[in-house]
Amino acid sequence: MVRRVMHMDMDAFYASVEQVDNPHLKGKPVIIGASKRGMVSAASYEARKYGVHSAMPVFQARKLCPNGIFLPGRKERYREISRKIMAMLQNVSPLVEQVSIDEAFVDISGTGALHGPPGELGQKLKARIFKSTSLTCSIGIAPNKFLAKIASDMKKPDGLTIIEEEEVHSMLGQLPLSKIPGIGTKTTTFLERLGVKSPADILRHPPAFWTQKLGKAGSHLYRMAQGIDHSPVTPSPVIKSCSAEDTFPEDTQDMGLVKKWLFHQAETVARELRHKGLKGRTISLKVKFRDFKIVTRSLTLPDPTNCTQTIYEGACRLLERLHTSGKIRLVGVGLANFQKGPQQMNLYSNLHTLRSERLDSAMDKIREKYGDELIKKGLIMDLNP
Amino acid sequence: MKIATDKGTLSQVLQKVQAITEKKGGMPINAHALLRATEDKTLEVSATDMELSIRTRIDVDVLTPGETTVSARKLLEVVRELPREEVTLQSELNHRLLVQSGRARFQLSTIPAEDFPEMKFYEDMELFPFDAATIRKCFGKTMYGIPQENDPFSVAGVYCHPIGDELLRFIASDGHRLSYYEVPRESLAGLHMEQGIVIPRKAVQEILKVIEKEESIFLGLMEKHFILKTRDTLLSMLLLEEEYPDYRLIIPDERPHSFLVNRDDLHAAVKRVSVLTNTKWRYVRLIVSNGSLHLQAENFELGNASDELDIEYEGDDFAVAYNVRYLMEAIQVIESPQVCLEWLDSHHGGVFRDPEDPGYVGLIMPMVV
Repeated sequence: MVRRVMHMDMDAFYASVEQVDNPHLKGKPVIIGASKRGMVSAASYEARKYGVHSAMPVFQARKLCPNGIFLPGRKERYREISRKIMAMLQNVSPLVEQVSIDEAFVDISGTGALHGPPGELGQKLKARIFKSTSLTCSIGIAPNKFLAKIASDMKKPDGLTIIEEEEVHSMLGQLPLSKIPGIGTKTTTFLERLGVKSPADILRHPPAFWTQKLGKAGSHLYRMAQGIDHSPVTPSPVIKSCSAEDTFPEDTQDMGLVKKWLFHQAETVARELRHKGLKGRTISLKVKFRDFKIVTRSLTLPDPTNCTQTIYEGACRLLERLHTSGKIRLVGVGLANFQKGPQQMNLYSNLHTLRSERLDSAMDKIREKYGDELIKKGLIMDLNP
Repeated sequence: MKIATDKGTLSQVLQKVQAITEKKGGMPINAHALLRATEDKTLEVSATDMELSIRTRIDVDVLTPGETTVSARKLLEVVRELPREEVTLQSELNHRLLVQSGRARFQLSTIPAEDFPEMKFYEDMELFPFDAATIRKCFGKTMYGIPQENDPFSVAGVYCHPIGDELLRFIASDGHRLSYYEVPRESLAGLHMEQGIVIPRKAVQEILKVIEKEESIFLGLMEKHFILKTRDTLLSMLLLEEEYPDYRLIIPDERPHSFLVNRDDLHAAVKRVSVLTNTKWRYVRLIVSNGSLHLQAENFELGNASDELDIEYEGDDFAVAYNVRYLMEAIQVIESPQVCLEWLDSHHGGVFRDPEDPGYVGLIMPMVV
């Protein structure tokens, strides 16, 4: 059976969602990431024309694109749409590996009888996603994950690229190194110094040459240059942790304010886990100080939780234990050490926890129905994340 | 210092002190045992981790009195490997201890005895005699409930406190289960306490080791220390100063349902079905109906197991799941031919009792399956 892997990548996902939800933003440069010192998490294609791209500091994006519309982003909304899209992929094949909120691999080997040839399947899927969300995506279909990812990137936005086995070498041979996933700027510079500009150049040296230069990464590089990738599409890789973090608009020493952020993050993390039906035992806190020094601390609870209040209290305890006096730039809360299956009841799980859990489920239901903004804890009433 | 003794006696005494020297992160001297040979044919062996101290003695031939310290663990390992029964220990120059048996020679590094930390045994204090068998029950039947890990949310020791004027109760709890044993205060008369005390896990283990073969022992309380004395051993234990959670609320007063079951049969059946439990699927389901107790273990990876026992029970059907290890441990300490299980409902802990020994209660919180 011919192996065929599909890579689906949403086009400028966060920015496009905003343009769909707010039609007046259509055709305008929309940039997600509004905090003074944060990073751009998405830029619409209109904004990209100005040179704005994700993972760029917001202040730099403002310089490049002074007319841009900078939005703080609504993670919960993006997750909701992402879930819808991922469910559509599940209908194509059970072998779906979600890589991030807007990106996934699907193993479609042997689905021809069911869905038709890959080109047809790609078109149908794109149409289905567009009909349901008004969003476009780019799809690449190739004999393995590595090539599928390259393919989806070839005709962005709204592209569909199919690489057949016999086209691999001609296609790959002349591809610029920067287009190859896994080759970063450092490796590119290193390779350019050796006169290597494309995968074809890599193949001019024997594998031993690359292993000697780069060790294990060298043999990996050689395989990539040949378009070989045996890694399987792993459905729902086991989630090991869940976290949220924010850079503050201004560095702060105000622990009350820091705790408000912690609450907001605890809530984000807890909600995500409640949605996934996961509970974790290890709470972690990340603090970045004004001098960019990062400190992380964690504690492990006797019993797993996904209760907002419990995670918040754990994070506060970790913060207090830091005995910090310096100005803080960023905080983050995470939960890990997930446990599924039968749950041991605790002797001392008191009324307090039970009440908080009931409150969580009530708030989740209200928000699902009426949106996130309708109900908020008093503690973070004045916080605008 | 030079002494002659036999391998068996020496390894026995070293085994008693060795556990105390096993603390991680202590100073090097804390891993050492203090050996002191005196003119009256005695070798005293002591060890301390600053919270728990032991001093015990054996009869030996003292050729030269003196003292030194040596790694307790290494000396025990060496003694166990010696080729002959006869052993001599001799201090040498350059801070070495020469261990000789047959033609085997070991020279071990020592630290001078002056550097050994001071231990408080409160030897002038008045101690009261107790029946060792009672103390063995108080700790032996509760110890399994002491938290395993260093869990910051529960207290890692046995809590001992008076219940009115009549009873003294020993409790251990790890947040998922609880075990207690209570005795009439008069059987421990002399042990005066207004409030409770918490004896740390390691001390409880050491007590059980030290009193294993004793009939009568002496106990006393002094300045946050719990002192235990046998014919040849003194133990001094620093009590834990932690507030014990109010556990009484979680033992349901009313337990309207109950049945009796043969202890050995139950133990064997639980053990049998537990073959199909593992770290992920660790529960055994008990299904109680008229005249029968059905046991089930399910494991999505391995399969499932079931067994059935006859019981005297008439009442509503009841099903509950318990962690299999907790279940085994709660039953194991019951010495009577029968076990009694009492319960209120599946949201409250199930209570395991010994029908012939009302002092024991083992409570386990269910698992939500």
